[in-house]
Amino acid sequence: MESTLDTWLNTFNLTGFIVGVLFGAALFLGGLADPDKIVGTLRLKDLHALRTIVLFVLVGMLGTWILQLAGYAHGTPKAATMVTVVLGGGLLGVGFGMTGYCPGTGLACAAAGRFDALITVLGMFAGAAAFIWAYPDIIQPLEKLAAYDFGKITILEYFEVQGDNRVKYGLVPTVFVVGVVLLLLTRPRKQRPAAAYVPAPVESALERPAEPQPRRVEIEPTSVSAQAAPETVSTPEPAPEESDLESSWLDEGEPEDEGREEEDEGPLRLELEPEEEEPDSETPPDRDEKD
Amino acid sequence: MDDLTVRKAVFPWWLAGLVLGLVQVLAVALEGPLGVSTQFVVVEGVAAKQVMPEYAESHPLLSQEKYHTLGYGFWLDIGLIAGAFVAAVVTLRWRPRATTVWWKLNRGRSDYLGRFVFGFVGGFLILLGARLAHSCTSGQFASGWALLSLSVVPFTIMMFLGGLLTAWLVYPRTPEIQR
Repeated sequence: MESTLDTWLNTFNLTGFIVGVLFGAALFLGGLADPDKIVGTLRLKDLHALRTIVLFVLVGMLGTWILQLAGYAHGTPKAATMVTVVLGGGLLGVGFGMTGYCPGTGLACAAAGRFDALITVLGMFAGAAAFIWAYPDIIQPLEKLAAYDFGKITILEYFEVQGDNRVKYGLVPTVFVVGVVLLLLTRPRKQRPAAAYVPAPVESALERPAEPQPRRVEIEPTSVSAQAAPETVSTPEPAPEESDLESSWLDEGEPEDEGREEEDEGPLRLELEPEEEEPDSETPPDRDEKD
Repeated sequence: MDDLTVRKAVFPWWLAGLVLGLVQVLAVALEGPLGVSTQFVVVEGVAAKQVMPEYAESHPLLSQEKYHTLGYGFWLDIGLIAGAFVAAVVTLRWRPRATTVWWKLNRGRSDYLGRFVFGFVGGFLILLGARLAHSCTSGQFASGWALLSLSVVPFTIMMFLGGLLTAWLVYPRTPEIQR
């Protein structure tokens, strides 16, 4: 046993260890090693993890590209055996959605005290054993399906082989633009604790032409005589619930787009603080306020 | 904040993504891109070599040098565990727990058994899938995009399809999320 431990320690690789420490710490601090964040992203309710991943990919891509230009990059692409990649990607996705873990974050979460992550890591060892067991007879033949095996190539090389150089030069910028657009689309907005002061659903202030505020008629108990009459009609002091538009945006800021966090339509909300006297359905609501 | 609220991460998204990306660049510069899941097979390959050498010898995968040698990738995983542990302790977030907020809200506060069964089955699928696809979310997805491998395109589509669908089925209700 002693000798086994010795051989084990003799394999120590400082580079790998340091990179691993940084990676593990970054996974934890960045919130990727948190199944709640991952599931939140997969449910499109909490896009912190998605944004982190997109930036992770973009920075990694840019840095690797620079390294490649400078000739310092290591690593070869994975073999593009499409049958197993599609199958495996799907299976991994299912497990990912069930647990909120992936191999790296599962290990990190287990280290952060999550017992369920430890169970998942055990499941992973079982999965690895199943892979080893099934490899010779099932998986290797699948990988060898020549029609779907493109070899260890990059997207660039693939299109080069196809003789299409437009893709070659357009790809990196395209991926970058897509990433940036994703980041912009999912940009976080301030959200206040919702449930507390959201009244009954109010029509979205953005789409609705300003409705006539009902004039409130106050009849004072003493106003029997005619002299009280002019005071009975007061300007529409909006009822607190109606005017509290700053909470209504929480409910219907946008048509049910699950991909968005609820929006804070700050400026619009202010413009709509209804002070209008005679709301006209043809005038856009934002003009009324300035009158 | 009650126990049904998803806690904010320590880093904001941009810092997290930047640091992770730089770690990836560092890894590519030093030795090779990040990757985790291969080592599960490697560890079992090393064990198999000890326990049942003739099986390991004849196995088309385990007989490859890569699958019975501990090295950069293995120590990267050990470092990952150490790094996450230290980060959790330092930020005072190391806490023994056995379930998650989303699980508690959707499957019951005390359904630990269900969580474990799902966790085990999920882990099984994750690693089987990761090996079929040659690597996992770090090695195939993040590193694949870094190197722009051809395989990353179908992998990304399938992973997110599977994940979105499953999460939608398993976790229909959304907890409060601290932002």
